[in-house]
Amino acid sequence: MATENTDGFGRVSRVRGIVFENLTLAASAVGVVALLLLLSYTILDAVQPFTASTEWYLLIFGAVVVPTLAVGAYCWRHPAAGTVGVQATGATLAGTALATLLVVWLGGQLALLVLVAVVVPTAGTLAYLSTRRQALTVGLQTVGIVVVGGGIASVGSFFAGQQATLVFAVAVGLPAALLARFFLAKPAVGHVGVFATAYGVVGAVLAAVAVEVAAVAGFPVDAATANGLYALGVLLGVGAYAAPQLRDRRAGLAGLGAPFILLAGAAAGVAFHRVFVVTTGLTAALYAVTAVLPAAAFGLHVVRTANEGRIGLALPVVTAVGAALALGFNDRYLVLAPNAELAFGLAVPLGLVAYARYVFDRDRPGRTGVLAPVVVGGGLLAALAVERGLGIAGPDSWLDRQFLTAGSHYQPELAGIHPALVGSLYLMFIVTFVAFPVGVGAAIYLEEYAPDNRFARFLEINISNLAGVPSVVYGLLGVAVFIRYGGLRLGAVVAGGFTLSLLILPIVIISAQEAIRSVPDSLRKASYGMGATRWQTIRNVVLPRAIPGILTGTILSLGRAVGETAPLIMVGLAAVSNVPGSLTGQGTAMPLQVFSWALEPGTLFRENVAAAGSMTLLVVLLSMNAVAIIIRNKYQREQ
Amino acid sequence: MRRETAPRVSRRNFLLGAGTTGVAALSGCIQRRSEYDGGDGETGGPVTGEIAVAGSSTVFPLTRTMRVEFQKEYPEVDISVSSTGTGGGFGNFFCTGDRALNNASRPIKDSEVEQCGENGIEPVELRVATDAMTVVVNNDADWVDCVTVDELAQIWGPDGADRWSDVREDWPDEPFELYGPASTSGTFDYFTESIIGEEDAHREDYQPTEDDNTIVTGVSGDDHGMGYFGFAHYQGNSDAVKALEIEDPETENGCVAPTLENAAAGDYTPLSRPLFLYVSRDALQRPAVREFCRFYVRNATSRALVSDAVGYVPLTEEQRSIQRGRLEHAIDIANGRATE
Repeated sequence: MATENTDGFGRVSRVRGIVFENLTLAASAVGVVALLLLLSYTILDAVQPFTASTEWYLLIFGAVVVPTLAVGAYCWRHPAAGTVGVQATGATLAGTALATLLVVWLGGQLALLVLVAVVVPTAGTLAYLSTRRQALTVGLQTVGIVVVGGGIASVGSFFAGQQATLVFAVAVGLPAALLARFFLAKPAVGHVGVFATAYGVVGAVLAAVAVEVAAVAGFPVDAATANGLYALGVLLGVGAYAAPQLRDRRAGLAGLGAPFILLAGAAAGVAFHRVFVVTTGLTAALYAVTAVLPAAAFGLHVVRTANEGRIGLALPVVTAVGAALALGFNDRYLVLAPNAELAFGLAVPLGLVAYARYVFDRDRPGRTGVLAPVVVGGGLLAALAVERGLGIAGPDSWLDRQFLTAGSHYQPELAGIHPALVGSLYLMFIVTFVAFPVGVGAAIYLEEYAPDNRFARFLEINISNLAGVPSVVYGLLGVAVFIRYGGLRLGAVVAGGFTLSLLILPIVIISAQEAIRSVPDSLRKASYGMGATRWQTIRNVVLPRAIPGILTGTILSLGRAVGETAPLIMVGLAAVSNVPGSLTGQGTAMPLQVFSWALEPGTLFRENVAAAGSMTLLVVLLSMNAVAIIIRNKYQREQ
Repeated sequence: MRRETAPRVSRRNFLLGAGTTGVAALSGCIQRRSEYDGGDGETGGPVTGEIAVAGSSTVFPLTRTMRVEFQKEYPEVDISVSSTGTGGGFGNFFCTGDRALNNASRPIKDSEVEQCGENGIEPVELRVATDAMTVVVNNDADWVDCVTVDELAQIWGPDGADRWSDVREDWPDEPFELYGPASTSGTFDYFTESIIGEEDAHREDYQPTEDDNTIVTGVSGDDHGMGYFGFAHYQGNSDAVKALEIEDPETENGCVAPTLENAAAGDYTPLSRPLFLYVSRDALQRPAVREFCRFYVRNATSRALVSDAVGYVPLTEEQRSIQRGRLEHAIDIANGRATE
């Protein structure tokens, strides 16, 4: 084709570019369409929208769709109100999520009691305290002491039994507390005492590792020899620390006695535990010693020093009294009212009211937006009332209240996902409390403390590789570590939780590292320039900016853990089970339950019940991802 | 930037407080429930404890059904059921001592008894139902309604026939598309024994699967497909595939269709098979396990639970009384009231 331009300006063929653009468009279309098809099939099977009457659709259109559109249009014209409206809706949804969690986990009656007696007073107390900084700090510190103490008691009971934990807490904790008081008065002695104890503990741990390795290698050690070895380890550890101290005649050498006082306490505790067996009243005594007593001591200290934040001590008291009242009432009276509805009716407005107070306190523009969730929710309630009052037939959905509250059943109409839903919640709870601290801790070490040497690089490469290990392998590892070696029962919920924690640990570490790395170095340098220590820098500069990224990564990896099937099958979680009686009890999880429905002989199970199960799983996953997205966006705006 | 108002609510502190308070409130609620219930008394207080069952996917629906009915009577007992395949259940769960009960769609093998013995497990066999194992073909396979046991052996045996016409002249000259359970399955073992006549003599070039629905899907989508599974799966998919009648040369019955009636009358041979629940004898000391086994055997004659809800043949009164005697004897031994 002859061209007109003769001034040396050639043409470039654009065919390739256009073709490529359309190919990329086609690629994205294929993915999106496939997903949409899959989702709509699942929704069709689970909800069966075509079984609803025309009147029902008209009702929903009139009472829900029209008001929602009107609210949307109003918010479109008043952007400030729109922002407030979206946030108010979010707060309402948060209240709904809280109510759902409580009702699913505790059942309608206990959920209502906990809301009335624990959540509302605690939230009110916190709202009041948050206006007084010092009081808030005191309250949170007390709560922290209670949580740490209770955690120690729970973990100890889990691994060693209640009596051993109680004896140990008394025989070692009491001397430790007295030593701590003494050390606070004499810092030099305290310094030596703390370091000597730490070295002693390291020595004991090394001795324990040596004993275990010997046992695995085929040289089992009897108990007496093992105890001797532990004592030797402590001695060597303390000696390693003490030798240079003694040589230089440093101050505070009295502190070297600390590890031996603690060791004597431990030995006395072990002897007592061997001789006496106590079974009654252990739980109360244990938690009293580990959680209540330290908190009370702290409270006494606060009152004595005439601390301005004394009032903060009310926080744990309010919560504890509320919990005791709720549990006591629940054990005594069984009220068969529709408590789930009441719980929702209480918790859903709770979030909205809290948010509305916040908006009106600040005189923010667009306050009318607070009405958005009221209008939409009112429409929903009105539709519900009319539907029940006039008996209009809604869709014959498989995913209904019955499905969410019932357990496994041989009749598809009566089958439900409740035990699996609670099992998945327990798993998430365990994974959060195991993978988050360990993963974030490792990430902080690798990014902020680790020297840039071969060892650190070796660690990093291994962690990245572990993120790609198939989940079945983690399942096998979980069986070996937690069940065959750790002594947990095959099928215990906690074994599944630990295994899933291992599975997502590398992902948590990597995403947390990314988040920490994204904090500009100039901020750290500025902090050091102001004379801050490394700890202060991490605490006040790095972590606050990294937290949103860390949270986003962790929540997304939690989502992966919730959907995993293979490792759970390997550690023996059942396809069909009751709600776990405890964390060490047996249970099931949503993907396992859906999988078992998909294997059923009957078509209703395979198509409709399994679809309703998938929908539930998807809703949980998407809510988690939504939370992650909201957190990320919120913090990005703030920065 | 927000305007500084005097008393500032730090949301981070609020969240932290709410979170820790919540955890503190809840940490007290998590209690350990004892894994075993104490004592071996016949009565005294409600029966509590945990029971876990592994094993056959064929028996799984029946145990799941019994679980629901049992828990109506004993709400304090937690029962979990997994579907691992008969062999997988014996090898990885039952004979290791991790599970007190195992569903089985075939009798326990000598090698499994040995493995159990090494770990001090004494298996007690309880027959709980009868299955009419069903051979299915595609709905459009109009050339075949009935096969003989010999023909099945030619198709499924080692070096089995490649084409339909190799077995019978008037069948189409098309390759077989065979779908069957995986070799960990008791169904696989029973079919091999009863049709081919020796252990593990099953041909290997077929599509093995852990999920019987895959067999249904495969056969219904394949004009020349063939597969086999327990009757319950045929009952749930009877419009998707066609069941074949079986002619057994050992009897004079001619072609017999796989139905619950024929299986109950003993005419559907050799593919009528007993289904079992195995229990570890020592576990019978626990009231929960004991009562569950008693309940299971007691209801194994129930038409509603065994036939209508699942799709197997209930035990006859006579069969049930044999199982009951066997169970009670094992309970007596376990509790030291009798010797072997």
